[in-house]
Amino acid sequence: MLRPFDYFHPNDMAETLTLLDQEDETSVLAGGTDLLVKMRRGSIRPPVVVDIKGLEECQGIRWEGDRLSLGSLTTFNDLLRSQEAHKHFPLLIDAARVMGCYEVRERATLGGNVVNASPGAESGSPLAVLEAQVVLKGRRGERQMSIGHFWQGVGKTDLAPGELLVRIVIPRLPEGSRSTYLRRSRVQGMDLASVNVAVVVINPRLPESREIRVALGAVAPTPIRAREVETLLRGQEITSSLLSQMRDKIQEGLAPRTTSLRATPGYKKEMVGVLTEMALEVLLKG
Amino acid sequence: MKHTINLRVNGEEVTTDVKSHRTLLEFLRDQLHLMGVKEGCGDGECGACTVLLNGEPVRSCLILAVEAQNSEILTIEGLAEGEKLHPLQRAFIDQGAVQCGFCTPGLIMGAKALLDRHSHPTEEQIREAIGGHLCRCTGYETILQAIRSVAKMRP
Ligand SMILES: Cc1cc2nc3c(=O)[nH]c(=O)nc-3n(C[C@H](O)[C@H](O)[C@H](O)COP(=O)(O)OP(=O)(O)OC[C@H]3O[C@@H](n4cnc5c(N)ncnc54)[C@H](O)[C@@H]3O)c2cc1C
Ligand code: FES
Ligand code: FES
Repeated sequence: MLRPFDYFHPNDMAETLTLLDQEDETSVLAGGTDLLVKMRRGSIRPPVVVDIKGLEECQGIRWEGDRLSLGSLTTFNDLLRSQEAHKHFPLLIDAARVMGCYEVRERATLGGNVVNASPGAESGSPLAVLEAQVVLKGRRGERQMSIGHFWQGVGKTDLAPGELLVRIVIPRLPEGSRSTYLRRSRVQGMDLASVNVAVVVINPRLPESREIRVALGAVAPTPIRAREVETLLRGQEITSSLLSQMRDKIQEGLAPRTTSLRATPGYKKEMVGVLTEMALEVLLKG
Repeated sequence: MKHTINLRVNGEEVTTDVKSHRTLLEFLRDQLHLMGVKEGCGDGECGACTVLLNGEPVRSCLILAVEAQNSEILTIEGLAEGEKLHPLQRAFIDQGAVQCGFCTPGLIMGAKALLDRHSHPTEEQIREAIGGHLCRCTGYETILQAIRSVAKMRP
């Protein structure tokens, strides 16, 4: 049973921001698939819950010039139904496909996934590798920042009290870019990722000008970019000796927590290299 | 905090008061006495509480009753037409896909939504649709067969 709280379902932004500003411990409700679980366990006990599903500004997938804007209320099933996501950001589709199960994807939102800030969250490494920006709104105005700065730790973000994540914007990738997302979990089926990687290849066919971007999930308090690996791979012919260097390099400095229920640090450190190699094999083929 | 909500449940208009902290699952069972909606885990993991909300399957344990304002809810009780069982209900019985039966209402609702989306689902789509439903008795094979058999009967 949930503890009693006051529930509001505002339909406009100004009213929402006023409500969020009034109380310290107000919780925003999107799909509720994290929030209600936490409330039931008693790990949070908000006296006020503000349901934002009536806010149009947080809905829809559309281009804003050269950036695709995803409303924070975009559900994982919305992503799977989006032609734009399929065409331009297939790694988001790979991630949405393995997220939870159909019923969870029907409610769970991208915004909730980002704000929940779980290190292995499905949208984590894909949005990091795509260099997404978040657009936040509060009573004092709007601000934008890179998603890498937004995530600050396990369950921690730069969201100020009373602020709302309105949308997530992703810069268009150069024509011909390829991308994929791979994860390992304990069982095939409903489980969180033990470890995941997202890889983007720009100019896949032109080794000299090729750029490879890699992000890793569930190996650090937030999803992270593997910058040194990216430098190692930039503009290089991919050989087995380079891949072997890559697998060593990717482990450097990684210290996954030892308390994970899903995988040991040793497994995770090995596996990010293996998954990155698998991703490159798929993306550089043909 | 109390709210007056308006919704349709199994085709019938319902207007009633609910408290904000009641889940849709609690509302359907305790206020409307629709006991076919089961609570397994209460955490979104098992699928026993699955109902259709505006035609799509959702976990009623992770939705507040107030969130269902103005929506259309279908539970297992709304599937049969009088004495005539829905083809999925018939198939679950015929294929022996019901043992203790606790998972059955949720599975049938998930399967109904699947067949509404795809009249001839692929094996992968069937498996995906039931992927979030736990059954501790049958081993799933008879459930898969029941769903396949209904899809096959379709023109
Ligand atoms: C059975 C089950 C399986 C799951 N499987 C996976 C999985 O495979 N992968 C995965 O990554 N996750 C999984 N999850 C976790 C969860 O579904 C996701 O993190 C989901 O995306 C959360 O979105 P939501 O809309 O439900 O968020 P909510 O629960 O509504 O909100 C989550 C948090 O974000 C805040 N919030 C939400 N939206 C905003 C906003 N716009 N602005 C400010 N704050 C906001 C809320 O206040 C809350 O603190 C699973 C959950 C369940 C119950
Ligand atoms: S009771 Fe809702 S998913 Fe288990
Ligand atoms: S028949 Fe018993 S849980 Fe499925």
